[in-house]
Amino acid sequence: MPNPTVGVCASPNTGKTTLFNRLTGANQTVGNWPGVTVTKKTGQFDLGGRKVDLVDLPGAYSLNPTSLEERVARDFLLNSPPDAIINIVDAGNLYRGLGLTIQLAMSGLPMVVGVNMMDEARAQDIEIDFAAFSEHLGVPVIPLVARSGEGIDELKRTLLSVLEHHTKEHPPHISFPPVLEEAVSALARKIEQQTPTDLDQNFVAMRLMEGGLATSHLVSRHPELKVLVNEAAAVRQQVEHTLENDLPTTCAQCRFNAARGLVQEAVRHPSYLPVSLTEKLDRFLMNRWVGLPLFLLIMFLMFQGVFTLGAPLQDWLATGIESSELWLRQTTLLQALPPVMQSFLLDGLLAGVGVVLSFLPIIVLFFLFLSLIEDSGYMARAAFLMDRLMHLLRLDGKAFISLLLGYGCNVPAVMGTRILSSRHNRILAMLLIPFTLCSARLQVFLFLSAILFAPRLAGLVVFGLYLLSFVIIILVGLLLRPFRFGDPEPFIMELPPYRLPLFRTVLLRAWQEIRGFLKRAATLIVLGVIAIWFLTHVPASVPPGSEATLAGRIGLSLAPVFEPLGIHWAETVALFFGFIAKEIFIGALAVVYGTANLGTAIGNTVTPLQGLSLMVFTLIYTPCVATLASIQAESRSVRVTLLSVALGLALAWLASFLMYQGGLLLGFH
Amino acid sequence: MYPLRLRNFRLQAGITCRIRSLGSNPRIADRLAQMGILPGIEVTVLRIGPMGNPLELAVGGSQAIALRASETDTLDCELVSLPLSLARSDGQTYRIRALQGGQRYQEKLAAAGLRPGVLLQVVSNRPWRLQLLPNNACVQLGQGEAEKMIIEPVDSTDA
Ligand SMILES: Nc1nc2c(ncn2[C@@H]2O[C@H](COP(=O)(O)OP(=O)(O)OP(=O)(O)O)[C@@H](O)[C@H]2O)c(=O)[nH]1
Repeated sequence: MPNPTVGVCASPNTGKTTLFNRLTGANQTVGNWPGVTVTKKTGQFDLGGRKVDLVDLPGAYSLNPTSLEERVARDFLLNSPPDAIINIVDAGNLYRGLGLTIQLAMSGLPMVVGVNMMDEARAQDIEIDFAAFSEHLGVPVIPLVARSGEGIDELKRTLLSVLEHHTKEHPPHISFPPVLEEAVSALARKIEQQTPTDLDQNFVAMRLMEGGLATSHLVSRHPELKVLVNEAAAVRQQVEHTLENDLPTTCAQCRFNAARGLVQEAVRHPSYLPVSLTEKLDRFLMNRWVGLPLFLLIMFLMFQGVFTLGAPLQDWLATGIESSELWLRQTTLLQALPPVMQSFLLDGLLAGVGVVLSFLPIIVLFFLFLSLIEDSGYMARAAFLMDRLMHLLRLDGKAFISLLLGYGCNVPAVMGTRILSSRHNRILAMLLIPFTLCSARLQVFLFLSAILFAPRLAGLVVFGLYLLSFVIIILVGLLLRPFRFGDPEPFIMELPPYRLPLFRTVLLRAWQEIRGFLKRAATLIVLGVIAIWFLTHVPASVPPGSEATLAGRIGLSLAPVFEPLGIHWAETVALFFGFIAKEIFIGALAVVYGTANLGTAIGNTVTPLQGLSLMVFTLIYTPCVATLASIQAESRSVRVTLLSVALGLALAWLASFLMYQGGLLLGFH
Repeated sequence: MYPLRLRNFRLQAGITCRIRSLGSNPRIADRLAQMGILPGIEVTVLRIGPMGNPLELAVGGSQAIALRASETDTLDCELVSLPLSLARSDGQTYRIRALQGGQRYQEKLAAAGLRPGVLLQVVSNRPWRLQLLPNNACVQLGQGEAEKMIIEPVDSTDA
């Protein structure tokens, strides 16, 4: 007998993830729902001596989807109804949560409701009559504190008995307008004659009336229902005509009326509510005047935290890689190989692995900070504060955090776009992040500007490049404004109370991100580095990066394209190397020039204006291999990845061209 | 510019309105409906974001939500109540709906004859001079006290 499947289905921010982690421990796999960029988590746990498969469904307010996440949740329930559902509601947000609970209970699937955050409810003297809830909903309702584990045993016991008895639940009765009520039960009777369903017939009737995907899912599982599809659509039209309101809204109205009644009956609020801690904090953190400065301060601390803690760890890893390379070079095994193979293993494969490793520390640190901000409830405030500005670029406020992080490193910034609320926002942010001036690019700019400009000017040049990066981001944002990547979703966001983040959740998250990065992006990065190795080291008979290599030949044939930018052949080849990681550019230049004294070599061949043009080009030209691999891994779209490269190259050429030719016209050189 | 269309009133933090219809933008209307924000529901403006957008709304009995003023232009609402601190001295009659302060505050106001249900008119603002109806007694309140007193407009014919 296969393991029973249990789906965890709840509105966002009810403690779903916390409960999931509690039930499954670290015993979980994180992946994607097929075909979409929505995270899917599955795990296993022991229940009464056998294993249960637990599926974490995306947060949803109802089964009438208005977002991609909700559609995924609805499709799962209709396509492969689980053996039971665990539904969670937040005790402090019962009215809104019950909307979904009632809808789920009406499905007739075996179900347990957990009323979570009972610790907070008790602290506010909110009393809840669970027996009344249970009776009205027709399913067991259990108090929970997912955070501390209180009530988890009771939840498991109840789940076990629900799974074992397979009693067909009696769905809650909520009052609908008579026309709708009659239409639904007439349709339900016909469904019953056609085929037995594991879902309640009234529920199936409602989904058939909804039409669209809901209907096609049902029909693909029960082909017998096909004959009723047209009838259901006609019935819907008739009902909507009579009620002068569309069906989903009418149903929502009925559900929430019932929810309100239930809350009134079963919940006792204290008569006087003192000002909550959240309200007190929000008076500062969300204040019209000090809110934004405080936000920027918090962001600054996070940025500093990630990169000052991350840099030594990265250096340490780099030293490790270097010394293992030295050690490997000495080994007899390696020396027995032909030089091309040696070079491939060390400069291609090992270098690629090194690039992957170098990202690990900042990814861990970034996601530690990010989950602190998310779990504490501050993320919603950040989105609130930044929304007006970011909306100018058709992004929502949270995107600011991703973009800002790009100024440290593009890779975790791209991974972090997952917190954004729609596919459109995620893709747009991914396309903008590569134009941020990351710390790798900064190294190149500091080096070049120190050689080419007087110390007083050098600082200004780097500052100017930062400004240019802002301008490019705004320009590209405006350029992409008319485009839609995926369905636009309205910005309607809940502001949960502040909560202390759970250490375990934060750690688990960082661990999962690392695993995800290694699984999804690492191979692509290593392959990218090997490809560059191939271009710059083949044929093997000539020095790497020289004119006779593939890259050298491409560089030569591209010379006419780069001439108007004031970029020479040697730098073009170094730009190939820079694709691996932008900071390699400098080292590569030394290889191509074939000199150890790079400073003088550059000073002799590159004029300040050419240097500026080169830096502008380096800033914009294309995301590095690791960033591209992350864009591919996150967007799952080759087109988006290619668009990112094309945008970068085209804009870089244009900007450098304007810079160089404009400079020449003004008499600089 | 503000989404909750209100006759005669600029939308400000502290104002409570009742939703009459969810408006003509189906994406917004559907999402609001599925979150339990439906015609008949009362929402209170808690805060307006920097640069006038977005709005934070308290929705009776559930968590606050934020939404964009520009996206909810078509939401149609009627004014239910406002804090005294936002009222003007224009001859409008108001009824006290709630006193949102601790016990001391409630006792102090009760002593001056101010309790929920009492009718009043605003004579001047800052300091707040009120004329209680029907006996025309006069009361003066400070800014902090005015912020905590929630009043609702009533048609003078009702009074
Ligand atoms: N006080 C209290 N806080 C809790 C409880 N359960 C979860 N939390 C906190 O509530 C917040 C949200 O919990 P999550 O588990 O991330 O909720 P979720 O439903 O998965 O949220 P999304 O992933 O955003 O859909 C976190 O800060 C948790 O630490 C609880 O029983 N009591």
